Amino acid sequence: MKADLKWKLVAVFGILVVAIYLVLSKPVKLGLDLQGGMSIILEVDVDHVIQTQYKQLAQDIRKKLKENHIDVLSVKVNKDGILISLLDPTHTDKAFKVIKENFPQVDVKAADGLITVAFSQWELDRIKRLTVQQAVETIRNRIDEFGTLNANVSKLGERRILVEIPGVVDPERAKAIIGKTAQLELLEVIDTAFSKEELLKKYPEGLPPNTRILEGVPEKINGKVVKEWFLVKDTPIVTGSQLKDARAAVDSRGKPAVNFELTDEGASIFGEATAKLIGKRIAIVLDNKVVSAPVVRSRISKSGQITGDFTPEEAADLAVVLRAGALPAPVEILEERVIGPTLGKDSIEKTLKAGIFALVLVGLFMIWRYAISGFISVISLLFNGLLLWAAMVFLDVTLTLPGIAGIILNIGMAVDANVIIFERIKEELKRGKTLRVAVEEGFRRAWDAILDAQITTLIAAFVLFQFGTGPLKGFAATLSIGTVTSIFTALFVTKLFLDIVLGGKKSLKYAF
Amino acid sequence: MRNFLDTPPNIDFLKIKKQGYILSTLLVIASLVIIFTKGFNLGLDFTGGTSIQVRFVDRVDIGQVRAALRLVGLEDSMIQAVGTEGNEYEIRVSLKKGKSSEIVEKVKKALKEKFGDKFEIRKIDYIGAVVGEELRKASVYSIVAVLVAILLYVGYRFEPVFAIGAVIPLFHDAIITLGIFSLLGQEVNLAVIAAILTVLGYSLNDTIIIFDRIRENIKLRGKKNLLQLVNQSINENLSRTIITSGTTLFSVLALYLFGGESLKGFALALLIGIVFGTYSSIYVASPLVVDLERFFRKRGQPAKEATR
Repeated sequence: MKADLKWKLVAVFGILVVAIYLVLSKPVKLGLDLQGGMSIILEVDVDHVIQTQYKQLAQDIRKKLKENHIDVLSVKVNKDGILISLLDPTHTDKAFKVIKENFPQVDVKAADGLITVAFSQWELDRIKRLTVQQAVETIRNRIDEFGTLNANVSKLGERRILVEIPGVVDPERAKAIIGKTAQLELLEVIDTAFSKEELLKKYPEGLPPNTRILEGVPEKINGKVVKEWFLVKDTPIVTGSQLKDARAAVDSRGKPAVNFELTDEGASIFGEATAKLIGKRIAIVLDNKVVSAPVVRSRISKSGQITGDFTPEEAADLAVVLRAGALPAPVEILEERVIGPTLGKDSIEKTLKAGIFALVLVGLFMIWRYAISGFISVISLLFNGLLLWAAMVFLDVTLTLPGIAGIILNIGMAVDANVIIFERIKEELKRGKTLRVAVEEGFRRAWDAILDAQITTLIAAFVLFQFGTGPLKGFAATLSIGTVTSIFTALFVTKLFLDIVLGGKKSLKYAF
Repeated sequence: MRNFLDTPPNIDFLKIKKQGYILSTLLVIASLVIIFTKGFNLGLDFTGGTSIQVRFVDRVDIGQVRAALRLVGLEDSMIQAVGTEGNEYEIRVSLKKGKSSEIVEKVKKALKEKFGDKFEIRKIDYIGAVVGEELRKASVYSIVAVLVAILLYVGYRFEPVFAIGAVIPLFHDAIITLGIFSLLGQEVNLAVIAAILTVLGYSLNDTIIIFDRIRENIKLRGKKNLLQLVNQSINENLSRTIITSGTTLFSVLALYLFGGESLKGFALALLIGIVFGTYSSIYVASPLVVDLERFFRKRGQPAKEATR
């Protein structure tokens, strides 16, 4: 054997060992469509956060202007910013300066007593980024708190979050834990009524400033379902961010409830407030719904209880969610996929069958058409499969059902390069060239066509990878990895084995 | 026998190129007409909605499933059999009927009432309106992106005439595949789009291999008798064209026959695409090169950029 062949053989053997090591080192990651599980795509309502921030900013600006003795006629918050009109238009320049100096994060435009304030693009992006990041962390915390779920939570694009939970899941429960905003607020109740209209009727001149109306949870009283409506102070006394702990418990009637405990800071604020509110009601509000509104009997500082029509499971989940913290903004479920465990198993069995069938069919054909060389190309094909698998382990690619389809498709495509080469060799042999020359010629001449052909497949796979969702990304991945590895096996490995077997012979029966 | 086509045949493929053009044009027009009149049976990925796949312990017919759904007012949902064993169905409910949680609860309740515990929910998919719309757009964009990228790549590697000759048949393959899907009422979902993208990349292989041979022959003999040269190139490459497509078809066929329900549409799109891709590389791409070349030469394009 020639020296360079020996080295090539050593190289191929080395690659073989590394590939086998990789394949044995850890199993390839299975997609949810194969192992069963649930995946959810959520969209974070970042506009909601921006609105809240504008409201806060409006208050701050009003305060700052007042400090600087600039009288404000009105401050309006809309979806793109804040519109301030001044009482005295001659103060415009001064107001502009005050805002500019104190609030560097905003763009200000001013003319004739009208000032518009909006967050700069940079600030908007920052808010969006932080909000989504915080939502991801909160969901992760909740899932960690829950304990049993081995989920993957990741950011998807600008404002989306992908949550993947493998295994058997109760989708409704998972959604309740992941998707609940869980914004807890304790608010001072000003007035109540048993319908919204009734409540509004009490204030013919409009609601008092800085208040809002909230809906209660329907309750059964003496066999009748009633729902209370509440007029509450806009600014909460304390919120969920001041929670220290939340635990499932039972209330005085033995029904499931959630006990919560405030942080020291929260407790002192709440204690002070409740001391002034004895005899009045406070509303315990969860995600803009009043879950209960107890009358304050005495100063409360540290702990409280959320009661409601919970099942024990719901109470436990609510405690988890409250402990892990509220989402910075409401989320909407855009997409949800739940796959039972049996379907994935079925898919694996079926595609395995298809794969074996394809391999046998292609392999037999290659041997039939190209004899010894065909046999060598089948060995290369198997080698290609091994490399593909090893690359997937190495690159941490998730194997999905379309991914398996990609591998099977690859069986048929990977031999294409060898077909092109072998056909060329046959052609050269027909022209009377010796075996050795024909083989060299075949490999040399086919190179261009093979490269061009494979690159166009890679182009398609690349685009697919860009736009595809989860499972299809798996197809794009196996298709492109397989295409690359097949170029190596078809050109290098096949050539090497051919050189060894034919060993520079001028002719060999059944070589092709 | 195993050496079939070892000696290149001498088939005058281009003699019937006119008929080839006519056939292809008719197929494309027919496909477009079907697509625009009949439309597609769009999958959940594009329409949005909730899909629930249920397997029953015993055989159940579609009427029984629908009767059960009538109990919860969902009888107008789309119900289609999955597989051929008659015990598995996909129930698809439109977005208008509500959120997935409610729908799933309702369907579970209905099935429980009618079939007791003798069923298993194997899969639930919910796609919101936003995502459906996005995926529809993304599909169109990605097909366009692939076509443009291929045009650029082939244009870079071959002469412009070849690039146009290679890309036009791709439209042909994609449109006919979609036309057949529309005709059969086969569901067009993301996987089918993925298959079409793959076909765009793959069916070009045949074309490129023929073009490569044409390029080689031009180098040897010049462009003088291009028609005959192209014809000869096709003939010399016939075994390659048939075998490479053949081995890939083996794989796709295996997928179609044994790969399970979830991959059927995907495999079918590949099957149709590859068959038409092979046909078009011989009957559309190659004659186009000849005619485009003639066309440009008549218009006074310098013929000297013949070989690069």
